[in-house]
Amino acid sequence: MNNILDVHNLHWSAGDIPILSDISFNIPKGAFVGLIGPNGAGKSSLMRCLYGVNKPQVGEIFLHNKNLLDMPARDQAKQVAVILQEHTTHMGLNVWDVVAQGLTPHKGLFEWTNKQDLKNIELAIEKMDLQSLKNQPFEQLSGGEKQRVMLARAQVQNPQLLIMDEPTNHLDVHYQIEVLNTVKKMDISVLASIHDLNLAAAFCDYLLVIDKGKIVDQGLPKDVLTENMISKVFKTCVSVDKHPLSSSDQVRITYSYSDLDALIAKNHNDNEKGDSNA
Amino acid sequence: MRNWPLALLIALAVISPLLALVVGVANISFSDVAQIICGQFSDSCEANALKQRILFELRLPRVILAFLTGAGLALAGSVLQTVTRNPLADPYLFGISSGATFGAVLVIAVSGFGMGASQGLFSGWSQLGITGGAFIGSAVSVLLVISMAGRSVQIERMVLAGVATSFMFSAATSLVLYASDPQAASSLLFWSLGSFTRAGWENLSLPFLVLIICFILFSGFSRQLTALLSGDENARSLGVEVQKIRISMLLLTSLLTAILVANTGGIGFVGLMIPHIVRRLFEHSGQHMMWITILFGGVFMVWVDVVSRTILPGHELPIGVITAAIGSVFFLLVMRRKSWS
Repeated sequence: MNNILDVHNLHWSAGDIPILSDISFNIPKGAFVGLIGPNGAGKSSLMRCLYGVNKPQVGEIFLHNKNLLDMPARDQAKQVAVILQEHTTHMGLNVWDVVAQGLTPHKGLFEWTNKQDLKNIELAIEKMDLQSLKNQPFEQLSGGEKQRVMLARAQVQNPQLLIMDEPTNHLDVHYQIEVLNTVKKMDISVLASIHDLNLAAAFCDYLLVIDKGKIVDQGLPKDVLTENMISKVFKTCVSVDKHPLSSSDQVRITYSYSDLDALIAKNHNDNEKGDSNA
Repeated sequence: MRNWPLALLIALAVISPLLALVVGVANISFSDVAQIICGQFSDSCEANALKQRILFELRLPRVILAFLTGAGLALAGSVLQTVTRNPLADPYLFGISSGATFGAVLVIAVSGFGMGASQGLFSGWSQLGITGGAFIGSAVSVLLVISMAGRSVQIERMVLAGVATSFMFSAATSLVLYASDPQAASSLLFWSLGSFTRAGWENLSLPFLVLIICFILFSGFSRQLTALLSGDENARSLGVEVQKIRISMLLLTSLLTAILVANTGGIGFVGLMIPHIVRRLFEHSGQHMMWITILFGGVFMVWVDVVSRTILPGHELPIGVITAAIGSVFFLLVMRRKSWS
């Protein structure tokens, strides 16, 4: 298969505390891959390994058959763009400045912005419908507008792979759908961590499930998003059926504590049976 | 960015030094200055020759040194605020200025360099010795701050280490002043508070050269610096080697500060204040921000020097006293605005 990213046997510890272990997966070219898992499962830590902030102690990350871990930071950034979960204050930068940051890995010292670069920046701004906002301070934008600015920056960065950490965090339903639709239209390989399982079912081509620092399941959303997997990983009672208006799966959550207690007791019994059989 | 503030700044950068040349004890008019600069001034009579000497040997180097000092300190402050993402950062906050002042004061006190009455003594080797002392002092500060910042070069730890280093070197400077004989201590105290009285053509070339080199290097790294404004993780994802850039920029700013401190003594708050004012007046000027900061800092310091020479008839106020007075009020205003916003 034509993969853009291959991760083999990745291990990462924060000091003495093991966070990720034996992580292996791949991302097919052009696929939108969702990374799902409960809080603290290791989603952000895994993504940080892929864009160079965390240095894995063991394992290999191949991007187009080149080991990402051996590449200088600048070469990595030419191939992988990142949209972080939290938008830090940008100390007075306006929308245009932030979009233009996408040029950073492509330009050497004293290599100034040329006409083609300006054209690319304007094109990205136009594509994300940001023309009226381009002189606005970044901090003054709404959550959805900020995500569009970061997508425009990623477009200028022109990567092979886009990594998004919780791209729909803090967004209302309208902006959640708008942002993910925009990413889909970008026709680029994407790895995005997503909390909302229904959004993951609707937008992702493949899903990776991470729990306690390990990939516990991966595959097509219809195969991965099962009642059994969700109850085990997320400790939540759900039913999964087809959405009446679309072909995607729909996860219905049961919000009752008594159901949850029953589920935990059932899982406990199942585990004990499994142990005694073994 | 609006164009008129920029046009006004450029006009001020040209006119301010010319106006500053007119101010002084000796009565030299604006037309005298214009004629001398254009080479049309008659130096046949003794009075005119004296005016020409005062202008070329005293006032012009002094105005140029003031401009270079303001420009350099503002640039250093702007870069420090960017690499640390701390709007209150300046060469003082990281102990750079205090380290440089201590180094220079120690060299002067021990060797007697720069204590002579005539300008000539404060040149050549002595100036180089003071500059070297200042640079070693500032480099020690920076290395202390970096070594305390932890493996991931945490900004909060850097700021705390900087404040501690600053106090440590200030105390050491006070000790040197206390231990010196009263005449030397008085001279050192005046110097440590900042002054352009020793400006001469011989001590302009190094500050000018270092300012130009730093400006060129900072401009070359402007993309990386802009990326740092968006946070370390963002910058790393854009291909910036965050720690290497941060440490290199800190060392460059310490070199720039040390060269200026060695020539002018300790002048605080300029590096804090000017980048703030520039960001406010010239919002979102992006890649032009650096040279706007340089011009603004230069113009500001030329006028501070004019005030220091004229505010008390027959006396000259130390530059650092005026910048600290303006800067501390500014600092409080910034804090107040932040607490209300």
